[in-house]
Amino acid sequence: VSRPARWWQRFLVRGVFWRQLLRWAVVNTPHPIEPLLMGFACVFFFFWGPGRRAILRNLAAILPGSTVPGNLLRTGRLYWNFAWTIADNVRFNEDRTIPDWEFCGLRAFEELQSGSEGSIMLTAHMGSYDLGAQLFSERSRRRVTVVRAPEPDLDTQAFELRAAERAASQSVKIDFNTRSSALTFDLLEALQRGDVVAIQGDRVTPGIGAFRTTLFGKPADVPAGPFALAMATGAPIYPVFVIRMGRRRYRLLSCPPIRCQRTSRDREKDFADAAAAWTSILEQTIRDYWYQWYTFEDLAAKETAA
Amino acid sequence: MRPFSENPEAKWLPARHNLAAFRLLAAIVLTLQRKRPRRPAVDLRTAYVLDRHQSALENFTLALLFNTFITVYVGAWLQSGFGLPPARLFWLSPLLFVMAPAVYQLLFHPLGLLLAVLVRSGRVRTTQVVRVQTWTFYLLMNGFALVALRAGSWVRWAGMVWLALLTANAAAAVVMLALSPFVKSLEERMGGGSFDVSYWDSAA
Repeated sequence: VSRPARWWQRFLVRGVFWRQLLRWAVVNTPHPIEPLLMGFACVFFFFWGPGRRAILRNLAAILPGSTVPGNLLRTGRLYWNFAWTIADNVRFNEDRTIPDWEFCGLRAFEELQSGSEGSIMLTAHMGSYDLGAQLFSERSRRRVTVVRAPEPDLDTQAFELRAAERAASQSVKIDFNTRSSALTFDLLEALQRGDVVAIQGDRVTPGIGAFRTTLFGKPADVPAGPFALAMATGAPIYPVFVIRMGRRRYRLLSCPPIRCQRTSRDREKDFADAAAAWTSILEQTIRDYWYQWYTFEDLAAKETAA
Repeated sequence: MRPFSENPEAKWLPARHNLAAFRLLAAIVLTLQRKRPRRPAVDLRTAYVLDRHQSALENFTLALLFNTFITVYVGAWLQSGFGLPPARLFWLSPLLFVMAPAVYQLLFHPLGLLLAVLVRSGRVRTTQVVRVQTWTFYLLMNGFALVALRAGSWVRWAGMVWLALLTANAAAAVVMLALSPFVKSLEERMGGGSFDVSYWDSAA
C-alpha cells in the first residue's frame, strides 16, 4: 500500500480519481439514466488491456472449450455486472438504496445468523459482499467483522474506508488486511466473543499467508488465515456468496459449513481437506456464475507468484 | 430500513414503480397474476424492497427512450446546423446512439457542480441532488420537444411522440388516482411490515 508520489498517479487504474468519479456519477445520475452510463462504463472498461486479458484467460480455464470471440462477449457481460455492482454499492453507501434479495440455502444462513459460537463467513470477489454484510448485520444480532484485501493505493483505501464507515451500522466493522499479525489477534478475539468474521477466500494479496491448492485444475493459492482461525477456535466456515441477478436484485447463496479440525497428527492433511472442500464449492459457484467473478488477475500469475 | 415484502406477487406492486404509466401497467399485471398464483421455487425465497425506483422494466425502457430521443435531436441538429445529407445521417445514427450518453453527461456535470456548492453550503442534501437532476432532465426533454415541434422538419415527429407519451402518462395518473383505494389495499396486504418480521417468520 503506497501513497501516490506524483499527482497524476491518482488517475491510474487503481487510483482514487475513479472512485471519486463513480461516487459523483451515482450521486448525480437520475435512476432511468443509470443503464446508459453502465453501458458507457463497459466500453470504457474494455480498453483496460491487462484486466481484459486476465479475464479472457480465466474464462478459458473456467469454461473449457470456450472460444476467444465467445469469451470476449462474456468479458463484456462481466464488465456490465461489475459496473452495476460497484454502482449499487455506492448507491447504498450514499442513500441506503437496498436491492431485492433472493435467499438460496436458507438453512445454512439461518444457522449462521442465529448461532452463538464464533463463525467464519468465507466468500469470494463476486457480487457485492459489502451489501451482503450489511444485510446480515441488519438481520442478525451478531457483530460482523469484514476483512477486505488492501487497496494498492493509500488514498483509495482511505476513500473506501470513509465510505464504508458512512454506511456501516454499529454491528459491522471493516478491516483492511494490511497488518497481518495484529489483525490475526483481533480476529481470534472476535471469534472467541461469538462474532462473525467475513473473509474473501479466493485471492491472496502479497504478505498474507497462503495455502497451495488447485482451482480449475491449476495450482492456485487461497488465504490460509480462515482455515488457521477455524482450526484454532473450532469455528465453522460458512461459504457465502452474494450474486447479482439483475438490476437491484441480489442472491445470497449459503452453503453448509466446512469444519477445519485436527483429526490426526497430520495438521497439513486436515488443512488440505478443508481447503479442498472450499475450492470445490468455489469452483462450482464460479462455474455457475462466471459473469460475477471479479478477479482481474490471471490464475496462472498466482501460480508463478506462489 | 425500507419495507420489504416476501410475497412473490409483490414484484408487481405499483409502489415499486415511479411513473404513473408504469404504475398502471404494474397494477394490471398484478391483478392478472393474482388469478394464477405461482408456487415459489423450493429453497429460494425472495424479499422485495418497496422502492419506487426498483422496476428494471421501467428504468430500462426509459433509458432506451431517452437515448433514442437524444440521438434524434442530435441528428436533427447535425442536419440543420451542418447540412449533413440524410443518407450520411442514416449511417451515422448507430454511432450517435452509442455516443448519446456522452451528450447527457454534458448536461449533468455543470448542474452537478452547482449542486455540489449548494450541498457544501448546507442548502441542499446529498440525497436531494439526484431528484433535482431528474427534474431538470425532464424539463430539458420537454424543452427539446417544444423546440422540435417548432422546427418544421421531420424532427417535429419526435416532439409529437414525446408529447403523446407525456399525455399518456398524465391519463394513467388520472386512472391511478381513481384506483388508489384498490391499490392501497393491495399494498397493505402485501407490503406491510418490515423485512425482519415478514420474511423470516414465514421462512421458518
